[in-house]
Amino acid sequence: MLTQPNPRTTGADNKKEVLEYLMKRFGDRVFKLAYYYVRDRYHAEDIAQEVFCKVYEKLDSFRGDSSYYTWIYRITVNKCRDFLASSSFKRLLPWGDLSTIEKQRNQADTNRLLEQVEGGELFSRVMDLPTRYRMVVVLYYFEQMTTVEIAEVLGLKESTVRTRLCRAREMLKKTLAGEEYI
Amino acid sequence: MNDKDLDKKLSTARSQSERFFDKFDFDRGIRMVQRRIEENRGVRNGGIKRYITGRVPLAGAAAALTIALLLLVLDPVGHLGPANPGTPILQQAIGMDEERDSHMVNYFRFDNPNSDNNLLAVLWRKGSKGNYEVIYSSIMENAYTPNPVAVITIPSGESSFAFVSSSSKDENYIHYRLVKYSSSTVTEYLEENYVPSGKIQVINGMIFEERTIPADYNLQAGEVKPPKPGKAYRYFIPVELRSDGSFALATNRVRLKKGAILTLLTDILDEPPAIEYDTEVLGIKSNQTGGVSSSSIDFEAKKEGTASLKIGKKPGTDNANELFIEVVGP
Repeated sequence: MLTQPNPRTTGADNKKEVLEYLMKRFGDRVFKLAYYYVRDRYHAEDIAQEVFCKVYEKLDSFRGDSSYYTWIYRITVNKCRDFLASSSFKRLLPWGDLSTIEKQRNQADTNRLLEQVEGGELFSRVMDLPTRYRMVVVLYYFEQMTTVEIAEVLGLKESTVRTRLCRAREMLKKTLAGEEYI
Repeated sequence: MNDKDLDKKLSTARSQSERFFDKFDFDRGIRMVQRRIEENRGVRNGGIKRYITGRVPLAGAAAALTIALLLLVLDPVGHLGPANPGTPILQQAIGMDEERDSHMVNYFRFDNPNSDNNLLAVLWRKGSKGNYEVIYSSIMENAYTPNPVAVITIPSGESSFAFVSSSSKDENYIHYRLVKYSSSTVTEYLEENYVPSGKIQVINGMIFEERTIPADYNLQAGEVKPPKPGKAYRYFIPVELRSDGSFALATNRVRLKKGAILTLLTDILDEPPAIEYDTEVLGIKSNQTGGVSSSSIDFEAKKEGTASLKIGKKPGTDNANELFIEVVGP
């Protein structure tokens, strides 16, 4: 049973205590959120660590306007977006260096294979959705968040979340149709 | 697909995601964060200096962690694995006898003189001292991606089957092999290469293959050529002759698409099984000749409906096993 320390008291030891509580409480969920975004467990783990370093850094300025959960989720989403943006940029750099591109492709295939082996084919198929649709689907169906919570975490309007959910469902229907055995 | 079906699939996908993340332990991450914070403690300068001071050791630590985790994932059975001249791109421990991780499959990538991507699939058996020996290997030419290995076991049977496959996204074809393991002996039941626009999956002891076919595929004498290429479906079911003389099947219930081929795979060359079935629903296509292997029996799902297929060692034998078949519309 985790007991929540009081974040209002100051001092380095208390900060560490709060951080440890937050990591134990939300570590797995932050990692999962990062994985849903970047689809690479090593990058996801690195992002999760960076998130908690950031949390530690900003803990004094956390005013409690939102729950810890939402606050940490928002930091994670921002870190993931930064990562994806920088990752896209990196992909443009090694132009002419086909072996680097090939390595990235192989890594993506390996990640997908691990999803299939350690999770299952359907999980992997959901993860194949484009990021904007994948995120609402996994948060809604896998993490059991409401559309209001998803909107808050992803910084979207609730109506946008609902629209994306509808579109994602249509995409999945097409992708998974007629594949009872696949 | 309707909403209800999709909801069911999403529920399954959720369970699969839980299984996937169960294998991850964030405790290591917690320790890394604590270490990062400790390393940053005492660095009074803020801004860029603090950023750089924090990041340089972090990059090394992250790289070391990444390598360690990669090794952990690629070598799930520990350090008892074989010393490989190359690094396997996929390694999977499988159980083909009573022990859970009794065998292992590696896929190695290697280039031929044309620099094409080829895969070498190697099946290893773990010895009593933890050492490994190769019991089967096969090259898959121009193959890009190895697929996870599936193991088929026959209920109350004496054998296990490993299903090894690979696919090429660019060329859109697959290769696959079905290998039987029984009493330390390995037999290749099935080998298919360059299956065009193919998909393959093992479900409930049955192998399901989908391929794109040319217009005249499977055309019988006198039949009209169909106007355009289509899809062909094939279901493979391994059959084993038990020591008590009865045949055992990897599954006892199968649903076929109309027009699909059902192939019983046996390795009994001298004693073909006696077969009884409903000729309205099923038609025999080939028996021991022209099939995918020298000892396979092919049936065609002719008509929608249900049928029972009895398979015994001799005609009229009481020792028969039964396969319930449902043929559904395409």
